[in-house]
Amino acid sequence: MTESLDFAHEIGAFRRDLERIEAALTAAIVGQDELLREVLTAFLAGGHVLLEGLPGLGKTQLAKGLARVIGETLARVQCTPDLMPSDIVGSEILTGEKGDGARDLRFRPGPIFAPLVLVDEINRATPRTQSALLEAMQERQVTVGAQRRPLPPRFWVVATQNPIELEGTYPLPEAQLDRFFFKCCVPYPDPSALLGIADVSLDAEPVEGIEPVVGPARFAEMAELAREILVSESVKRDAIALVLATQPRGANGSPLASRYLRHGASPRGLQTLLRAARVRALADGRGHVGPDDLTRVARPALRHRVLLNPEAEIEGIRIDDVLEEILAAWQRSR
Amino acid sequence: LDRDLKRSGSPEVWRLLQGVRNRLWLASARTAVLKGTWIAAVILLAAGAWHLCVGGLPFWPAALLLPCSSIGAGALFGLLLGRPSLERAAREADRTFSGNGLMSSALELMRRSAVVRERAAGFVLASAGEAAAAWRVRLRQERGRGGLAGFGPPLVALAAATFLLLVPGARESARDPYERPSPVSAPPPALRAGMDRAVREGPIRSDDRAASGSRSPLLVEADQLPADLLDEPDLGVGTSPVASEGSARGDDPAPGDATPRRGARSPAPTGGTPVTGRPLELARKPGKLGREPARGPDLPATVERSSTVPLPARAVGTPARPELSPALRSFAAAYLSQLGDPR
Repeated sequence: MTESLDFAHEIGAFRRDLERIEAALTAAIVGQDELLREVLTAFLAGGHVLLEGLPGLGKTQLAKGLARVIGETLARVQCTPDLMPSDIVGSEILTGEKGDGARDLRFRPGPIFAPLVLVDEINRATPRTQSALLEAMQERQVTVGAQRRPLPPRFWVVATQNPIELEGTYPLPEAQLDRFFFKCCVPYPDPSALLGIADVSLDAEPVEGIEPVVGPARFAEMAELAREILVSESVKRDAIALVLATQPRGANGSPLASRYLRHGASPRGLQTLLRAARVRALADGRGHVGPDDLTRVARPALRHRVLLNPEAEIEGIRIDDVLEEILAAWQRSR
Repeated sequence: LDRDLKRSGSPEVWRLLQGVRNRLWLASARTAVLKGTWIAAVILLAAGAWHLCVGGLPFWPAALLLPCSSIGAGALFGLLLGRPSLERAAREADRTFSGNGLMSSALELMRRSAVVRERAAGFVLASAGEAAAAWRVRLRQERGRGGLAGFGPPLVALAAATFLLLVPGARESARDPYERPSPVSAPPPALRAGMDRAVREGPIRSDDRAASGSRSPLLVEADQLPADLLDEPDLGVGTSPVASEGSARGDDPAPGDATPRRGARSPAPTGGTPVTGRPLELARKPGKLGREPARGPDLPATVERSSTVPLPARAVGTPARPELSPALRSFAAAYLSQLGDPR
């Protein structure tokens, strides 16, 4: 009974802190409430985020604001075609000679060793440089020379990309895309949001005024609490059914997936669904995950894990349209 | 197992799940009965249609037995096999009350040992208990909805089918002795015309006229004609224009069907004296003339019936007095002697 009360108190504290974080961010980044919620969900679940949107919509400001609000250090990597992997992971440099005549090599860590890394315009980097992020994002370590170097325990990558500039870009390979926990689309603000942006950014950059709301340790505790949320067998089965519904080949695939999709979501997509659903359940003050939580996180969790086939691209079908249909069919079948 | 669950979890959750489970159970039985009623209605409608159009159902209540048993079987199967699992009840409760998986999670926790439960288990069970208490109230309010909804169309069909089975069918109508036309009552028109002419233009006519102006026409049975008349070589089916006309009108009896029918009515004659199915004995009884007709020496007491005896073409349809054949002459003489006329 006492344990239950403690847990209830912890849930209450989590919600209060999360509301404070959201309030601080929405004051600076106006009109992107749903995007902020998605990014915070990914952060609390320990995942990396790919932000896709037109220039000037506040993607970089969002990453900066997040770093400020949770009191973490932000490192920024501006990707260009001539960016080298060593520019991201770091390199060993010659500092001099030792007394016995041997050369002294010292490792100079790259920006990837910061807790929060903003990889701006990631699709402008060459595939070789992009692949340097693979190991860091998945295994939270980098290999330089023959030595493995672990990354900090709290490590998030926020990458941005522009969907319309195709010249001089290198689209992310599927393996790289799958490493991102969420792919969030940054929508264009509505007129009232634009008015708010005009108000808050008239004199200075609004994110510069954000003060830390919770410290890094508290944010880590919040993420830890999310891992204690109960995921029942029926919810796991529901999540599996949703992932299988995206498979174009297979008995459980939906007809729309068979028609328009080339590849369905990976098992990593299933992990993402359940982890993100836990955070959403906790944010709602519940101790268990429900099917509605899966529905809420399905779009950002799956949209970069399914691939459209040429027929869909010719017909102008968007991934979100297909996902919408698959989700509707999945909800009906439950 | 259920007792263990009840002990390990919240009692409110347990009661709610049992309530939802019973509700689902009844709904399942109701659906099964509804399906059985539809099947019964279809079977009965088919039986009713058969009964009306073809007939021959040996005993129509037997046709009711199968539909009734299908309804009963539906109810039985619904009750025996339709008992839902607790998981399904939990899912249904979540769906009905927008629980977002709360009862499913609580049920799973109740089935787990308390040792292996997560820290969130107590919180989830407590939340489920609170929610279950509120949902049970709503469940009680919603109880009783549905009822006989959906049973209207199949019940109407059942009633219609039962009505169809109750009205006389095709076979029963045919068996009605008052409705079926007698084969004897439809003698050949040629015979009727010939006999009529023979009687009208013979000596009887004037006597009758003298005795009573309102005398009924003589009635002669076709099969009571002497055998030699029937063996007349000129007789033949279809040789008489009147007979052809009668045949065309469907007045001829069915060949081979010689069963006499009580109270059979003859069709309208085509001309001449109508010949009815009354046997010869009736003609011998005292008629309107008030005389007992004497039995002729050459007439047998009973005559074997034959159904079709057409007359020769020359005997009918001619305005002048016809030439009677010797056989007809002898028959007419015998007949007149029965009436007691010396001429």
